[in-house]
Amino acid sequence: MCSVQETSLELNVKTKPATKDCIKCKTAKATVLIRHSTYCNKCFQHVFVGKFRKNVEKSRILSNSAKLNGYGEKVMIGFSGGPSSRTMLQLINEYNEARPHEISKKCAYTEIIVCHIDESVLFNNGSTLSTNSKCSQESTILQVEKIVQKYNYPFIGLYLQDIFNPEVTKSGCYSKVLELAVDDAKMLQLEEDPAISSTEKLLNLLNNISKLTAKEDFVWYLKLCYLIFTARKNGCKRLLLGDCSSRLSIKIISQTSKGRGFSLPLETSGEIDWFEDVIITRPMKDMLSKEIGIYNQLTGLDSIYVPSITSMMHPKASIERLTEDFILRLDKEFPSTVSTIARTGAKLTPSDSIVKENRCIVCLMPYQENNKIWQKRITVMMVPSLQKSEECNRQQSSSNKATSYYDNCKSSNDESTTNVEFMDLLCYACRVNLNVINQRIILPPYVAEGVEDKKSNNRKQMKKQIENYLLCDDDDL
Amino acid sequence: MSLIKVKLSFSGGMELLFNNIKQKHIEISSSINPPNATTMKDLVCKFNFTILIKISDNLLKERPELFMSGDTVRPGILVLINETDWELEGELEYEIKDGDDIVFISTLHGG
Repeated sequence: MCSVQETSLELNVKTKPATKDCIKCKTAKATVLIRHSTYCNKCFQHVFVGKFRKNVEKSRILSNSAKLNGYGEKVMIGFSGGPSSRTMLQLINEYNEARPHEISKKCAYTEIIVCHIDESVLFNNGSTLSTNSKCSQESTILQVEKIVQKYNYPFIGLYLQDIFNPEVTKSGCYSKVLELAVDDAKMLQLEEDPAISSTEKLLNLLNNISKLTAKEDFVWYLKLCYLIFTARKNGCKRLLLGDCSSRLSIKIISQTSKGRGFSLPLETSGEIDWFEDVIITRPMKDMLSKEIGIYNQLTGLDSIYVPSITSMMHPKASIERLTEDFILRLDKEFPSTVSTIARTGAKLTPSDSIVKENRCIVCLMPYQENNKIWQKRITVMMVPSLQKSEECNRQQSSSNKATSYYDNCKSSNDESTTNVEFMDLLCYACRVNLNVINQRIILPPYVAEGVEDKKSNNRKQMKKQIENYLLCDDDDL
Repeated sequence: MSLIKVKLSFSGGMELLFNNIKQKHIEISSSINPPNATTMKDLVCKFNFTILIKISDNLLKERPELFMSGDTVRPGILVLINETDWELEGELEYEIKDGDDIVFISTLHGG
């Protein structure tokens, strides 16, 4: 296990070094092995912090030259409490404190807000997501707050279920929710029913998504959207996320498998302005999870344990989980796996056909124009021979449901352009996710608002098209 | 044959496999497989491990795959012996000495 065999697969594999001195200072005894390099504790920490600073500097220089003229900006740290974001919080703090005495007198960031989203709802309240009754989990907000208090930064603790709050929208007070029924893919704009708590709504949504992969995907995008909205609300120009290179390489492979290749460059890049007023930066993108684990151990940083819905489950529980297992195993034998995937992924650039208007209303990522048409072309929803037998048909009811989506979509093509079909507003992956729902579900207000925006946009466009033929301009269109 | 004292620590979610115990001092034989000295392999080996850690509430016995993968520790779990990466200490071949401080850290939270 401990010696890497030379194989034809990877010609450049070096055997692990026999010398046990640090390759940097060449004097101290090595204590850490990162890929093929040995470091002593001191040099390891130096290199580790250096990588972080390089990434932060890079993003600062970019944004400075653009608009800020050297003034610091207000940023929000997305802090899960896990090891990677724990390290990020510490390093951002060191960086921001140390800089004034170094290069310039200005702080890199004028204001830092730490935001945490508590997901414990997923494991409580009779949610079918928890596999083990013992797993019922306390809120993580208190634990996280304790950590953040050490830094003197304002702390925002949010609950994932509050994504159903009318404030979590662009306008800040959009109270309608979106109801989606299974059989006819019809959507209804509903006034929010105050009798149903946000927790119930969220659990209803997730419990009715039958596939763990889809569920996991959903939770991630709800979280991301919540973070973006919160950053925007608090006037933060930048959102710092703690994805490390191990996590990013897992994401690159799993997102590709889930059909998110189109938006992949936006979702894994170290710096992206897809959300226009909120730039997402991932300063941890070059650190391996192993490096982070060692750094936290050496410096005594205490992180909290944040389970995901597939924690403690079989590796085949979901695509994400399986990818993680696969990559970690491969990386054990071939220690360059993670960095190769991450660096290759970093070379991806967003496609030219990405249009800001074509934004999936659920994940807020771009969707490909006409993806529904090619999806229909390449997907077999039903085995043809089964169509004849009614009994079999009944057994295949789930796939039938799915086909009815497409029939519905098809028929709607001829309808008026102001009528927006819900399925048209989704990216491929979100549509696949919503294909596996069991019952009617309620989607959060920000999704309902997205539909509304799209409708009014369409109306505007149509008005523009027929502008020349209109007799009176202030028609109430 | 004598007993050696070893300190085991679990973090990053690993402690959940051991009944939420983060640290445990244990005493083991200096030679579990005589005449050879006790190695990490002996400690980590599926059967010995559950015997050694009587504290775990059977979770590990039921689901050894959360900790083990084949004969070794699951990838994604970081092992430090006296603050040194165990990959530099020969991993499973490392001979455990009296007073060793062994840390198991789960680095990614899938498992």
